[in-house]
Amino acid sequence: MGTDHTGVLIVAEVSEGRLTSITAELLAVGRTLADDLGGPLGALVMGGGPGEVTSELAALGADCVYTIGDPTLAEYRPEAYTDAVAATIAATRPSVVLLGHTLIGRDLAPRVAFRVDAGLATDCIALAVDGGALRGTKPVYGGKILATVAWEGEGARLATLRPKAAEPASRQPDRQATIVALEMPAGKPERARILSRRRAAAEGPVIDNAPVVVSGGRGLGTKENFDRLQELAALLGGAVGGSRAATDAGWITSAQQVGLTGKVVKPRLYIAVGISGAMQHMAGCQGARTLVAINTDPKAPIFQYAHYGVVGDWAKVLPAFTAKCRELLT
Amino acid sequence: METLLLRGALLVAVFIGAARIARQVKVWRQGRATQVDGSLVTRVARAVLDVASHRRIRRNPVSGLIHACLFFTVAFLGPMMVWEHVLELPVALGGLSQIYRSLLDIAGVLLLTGVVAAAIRRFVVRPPRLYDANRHDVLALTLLALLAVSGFAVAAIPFVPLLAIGGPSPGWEMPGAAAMTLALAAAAGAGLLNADPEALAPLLAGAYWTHAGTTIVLVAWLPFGVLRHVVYSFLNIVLVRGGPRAALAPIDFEAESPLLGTRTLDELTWKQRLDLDACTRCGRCHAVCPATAAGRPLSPKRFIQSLRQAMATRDGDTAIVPDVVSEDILWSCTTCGACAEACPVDIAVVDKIVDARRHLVMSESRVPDTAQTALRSLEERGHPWSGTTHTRTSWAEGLGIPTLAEAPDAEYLLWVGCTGALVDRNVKATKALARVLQHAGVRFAILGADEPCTGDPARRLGSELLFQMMAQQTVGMLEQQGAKRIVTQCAHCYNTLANEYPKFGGTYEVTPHVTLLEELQRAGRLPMGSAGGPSVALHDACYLGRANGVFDPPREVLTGAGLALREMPRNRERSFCCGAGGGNAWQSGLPGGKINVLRAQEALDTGAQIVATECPFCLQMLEEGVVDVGGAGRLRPMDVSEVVAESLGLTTTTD
Amino acid sequence: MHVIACIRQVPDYEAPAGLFTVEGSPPAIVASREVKPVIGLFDQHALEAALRLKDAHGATVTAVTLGPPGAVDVLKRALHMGADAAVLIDEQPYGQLDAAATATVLAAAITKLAPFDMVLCGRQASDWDGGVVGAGVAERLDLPLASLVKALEIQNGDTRVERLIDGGVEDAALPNPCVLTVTNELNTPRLTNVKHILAAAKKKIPTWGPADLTLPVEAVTRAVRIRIVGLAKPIVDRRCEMVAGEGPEDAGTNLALALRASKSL
Repeated sequence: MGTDHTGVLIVAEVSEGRLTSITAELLAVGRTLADDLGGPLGALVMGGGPGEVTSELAALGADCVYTIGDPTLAEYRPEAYTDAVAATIAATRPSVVLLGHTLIGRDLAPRVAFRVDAGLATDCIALAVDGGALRGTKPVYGGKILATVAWEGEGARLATLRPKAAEPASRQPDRQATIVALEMPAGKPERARILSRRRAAAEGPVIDNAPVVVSGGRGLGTKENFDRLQELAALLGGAVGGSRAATDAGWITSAQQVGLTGKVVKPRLYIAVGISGAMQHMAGCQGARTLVAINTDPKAPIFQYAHYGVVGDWAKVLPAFTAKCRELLT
Repeated sequence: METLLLRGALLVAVFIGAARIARQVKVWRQGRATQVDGSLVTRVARAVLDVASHRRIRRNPVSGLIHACLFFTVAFLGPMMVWEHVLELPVALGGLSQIYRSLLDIAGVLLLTGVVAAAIRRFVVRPPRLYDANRHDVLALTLLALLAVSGFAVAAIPFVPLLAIGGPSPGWEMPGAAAMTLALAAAAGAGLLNADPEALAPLLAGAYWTHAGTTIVLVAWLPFGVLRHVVYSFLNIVLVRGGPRAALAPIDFEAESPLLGTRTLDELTWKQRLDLDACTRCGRCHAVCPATAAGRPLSPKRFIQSLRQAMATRDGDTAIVPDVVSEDILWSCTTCGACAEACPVDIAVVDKIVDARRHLVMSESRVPDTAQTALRSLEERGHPWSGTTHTRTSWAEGLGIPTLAEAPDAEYLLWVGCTGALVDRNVKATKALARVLQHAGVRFAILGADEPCTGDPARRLGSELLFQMMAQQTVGMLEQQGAKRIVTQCAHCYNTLANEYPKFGGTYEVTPHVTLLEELQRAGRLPMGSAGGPSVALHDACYLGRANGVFDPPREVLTGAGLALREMPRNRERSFCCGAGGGNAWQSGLPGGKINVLRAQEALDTGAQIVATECPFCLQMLEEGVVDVGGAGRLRPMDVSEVVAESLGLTTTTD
Repeated sequence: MHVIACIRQVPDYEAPAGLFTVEGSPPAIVASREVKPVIGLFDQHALEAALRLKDAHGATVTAVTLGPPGAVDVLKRALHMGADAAVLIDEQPYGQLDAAATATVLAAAITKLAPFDMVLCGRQASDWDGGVVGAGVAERLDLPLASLVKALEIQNGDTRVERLIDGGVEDAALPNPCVLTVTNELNTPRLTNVKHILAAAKKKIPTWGPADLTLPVEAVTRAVRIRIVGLAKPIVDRRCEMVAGEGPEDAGTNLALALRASKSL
């Protein structure tokens, strides 16, 4: 472990000018690690100068905020971001670098890790210091097994953190941080050309931070049946999600996919309809405060994770459930 | 002189007919070679008996009667006329001579009646299976009618002048001649006919030559038109393929360049091509096919006729799919075999469908999406139920059942089957069966984690190489484990293990679970139930019943358990498929309706409280079907083993 | 055109959790006999993408796997699906490999297979779920990379991709040769084909060791950055309250009442 590497650096994610929820979670974990390892907690944000985002980072606990103000970095670009993060690591020499295991983090972290020859553990649900050494806990085998990993080699140690695995850092509005502006490194010209980005206007609420998620699996059978879930979700003020089987069948978009290779959600209420409970799916929803399962098979694994369960045909259970909810809520 | 002309013309007609038949034989032989086993003499004898008894044609009573009228009369009249008028041999019957003459006449009347009835049936009543009645049918019927009428005329005309002067007329023991005589006399009386003997002479000659001429035309035309079935269908019955009905023929993959199914018409075997010409267009297959009933693209009659048409008019290297039939037609088939059961002339349909599937799957890797997932799952993890949360052993937890390795002296190996172990609904039935067998004190073992798939879904979908690889592995494993007596609870597992594995070196004593349960009841190892149990309708599984003749055991078991048995309208050999066979359990989104809904409705209409199944696929299909027709709560689909378990009080609430 | 598909043999990712245990010291994952070795889920999509390039552009496809001798089975499957050639890189000389070391070895093997136009990997392995190796291969070979690819085609010699981003897709163009990691939305993997199966019987699958890669074992072991120091089955300590009723509709009603009572609704 190179002795001149100290502190923790997190890579912030910004969407439409605001910090995404993963950033607050990274700062919470980063704070604990920085305190245990000794050293400052830094946050890197790209694309803008000092402003709302930087003061928010400070409020959430960053000791130092590094900004790379190049406006071309406002949206994620793999090669440019890799150059920028690698350069920041070289300049600031953190002992630990954290990114979110988001669609950006999944792309960026491995590139950076190989660029700076650092170990990377992805999708960690916990990070801790054990006897001075960093230990990460991450799900493997589709979530059926938990592995504890250790880093080797000199230099920084990289990890991506699973969204919603940690509580977000609390805000202290008057907390101050040092703002350091870094120069965008004179990078090589990008080889991959980004031609366009197409984001479908989300039809209705998205599952990412919805308080209630109603999720359907293989057992739904058709795309039309997802409309029934939509009805319930709308009533409860939530969003519709689904398993990988539902995405593969074209009943939902990948933005609605909950699971290991989909989204991790932590709603107040998660209602799993016709979902068996395979680990890859549970990885995405088991953090829900209340998990409800409706399935015809009493031995389905999902009942091991659910707080409430009904064994029965969803086509009969759900309409009655929806009707009663409507009655209770109005 | 006349006789010479007659003989000459008939000889020419026979020659023309024979030449046409010979040409058609050459067309069949453009196909691939194949073996026909067994003694020719036995085959011919069997065929003659079959035709003489009209055993299968009689199953449709009305059509059977009509055909009997047409067939037996011509079969009698033809040779007798040739004997008397062409060969001019005596008919020395002495005192019976009059009876003989009378019989000839009655035969003619029956022939004419048959023709008229056939015409009404085909062109007025129009049953759906005769959807393609056309002018060729009209021609055949007309020629036969002409034959009868001209025959009566020949017999009647000489009596007309006699009648005019008060002489005798043919008695009613010759009804045809008598009626014709009266008609002609009436015509003469009405001035439409000159009753003078000299004037009638040319009419008589005309009638005679019409009669002779029609015969000659019929003989020559026979192999050209719809009556060709007289020759080709009979030939097909003689050459029928033996062996277990639902066993498919393997491909020899170790041959030089193995043929991977049939892509073109010429890749059909000569026997398969004969099948096509044997088809009489009767449509009985069409009437019983579950796919046809559900409105799917497949009709066995249309399938065979499309191929026949293509064989007659198109090049041998025409691709069967898509140039003759569409893929959807192929995938609609559940391989239930009802078509072959109904066919009076032994035409096989399933073999051609599977051969065409084999080409699509093995050469072009084309299979409907959901079936593709099942096949990939079979290839990779040895079972078709991708996504199951069950394991091969999870159903057996807590039941204390040993593996065969642990209990090599067990009475039976219980072959659970992929579906029985891995699909929610079916696990319940498996547990029920295990409990019942334990209750009866049967010492049985399972293969547990080592149990593979028999490969049946792969074979039915056309993935023959995959099937053979699985079969060889399974046979090897069973040999290593020393399995000899196997009990199955799935009709498809049963058929494959009992009838198809012997070709891969695996011979076992395979018993379906319903048969074992019946034996146990008879032996007193399972108590009989007291009468007064609920009413139950049995759904005969295609692969146990029609394909393997297992009909009575499940019925005995159900009544033995104290239930009141009701029969479905379509039962036993005529059972209507649940819709899962032929890989259809894994197909969705095919055009047309759902087969299981039709069967579920039929079960519901019996008024029974339970519909009992003997195959896990039937159980799944009927569960869904009963819900779809609104029968949930009124009709319970249950496996026979579940019925027995419940009657013995063996099921628990956690099942 | 030459396309290389990196695939990996993993224990059946669809096998239920109950078939896996953690045993021994140091702890190791033990899978029941029922768990069959299969090609990783996303690797199948990568292989399928390569085969579609073969169908559309006549590319030759080479499948590569780093694994134990038994991993030759996934290479055979690749040949049975239509791949032209396959190579097994023996992992035994290297000891415990992590993503970085794996990427080092694969990069050396891919270099040996040059010239090539594209390297396709799954987005993550179905056993270790890392999602790192593809990027490592690109970085070691200094090639452009696009990850999470859900659509791809060749246009004017460039590779055009759609990749997953938050809320939608990103269209990008990469020059060839390039490295792509693919996701399951990309395609449906095909069945094996009998013609390929019969042809593959005559093909040899070479096994490459360190000497073949001209890569010393120490270079690989020195590249290891992550070690697994613990394994455990997640303990789910939850008791589900099963809500019943006189039939499914009644159960649904009771469920709503139960949630209301616990203030979850």
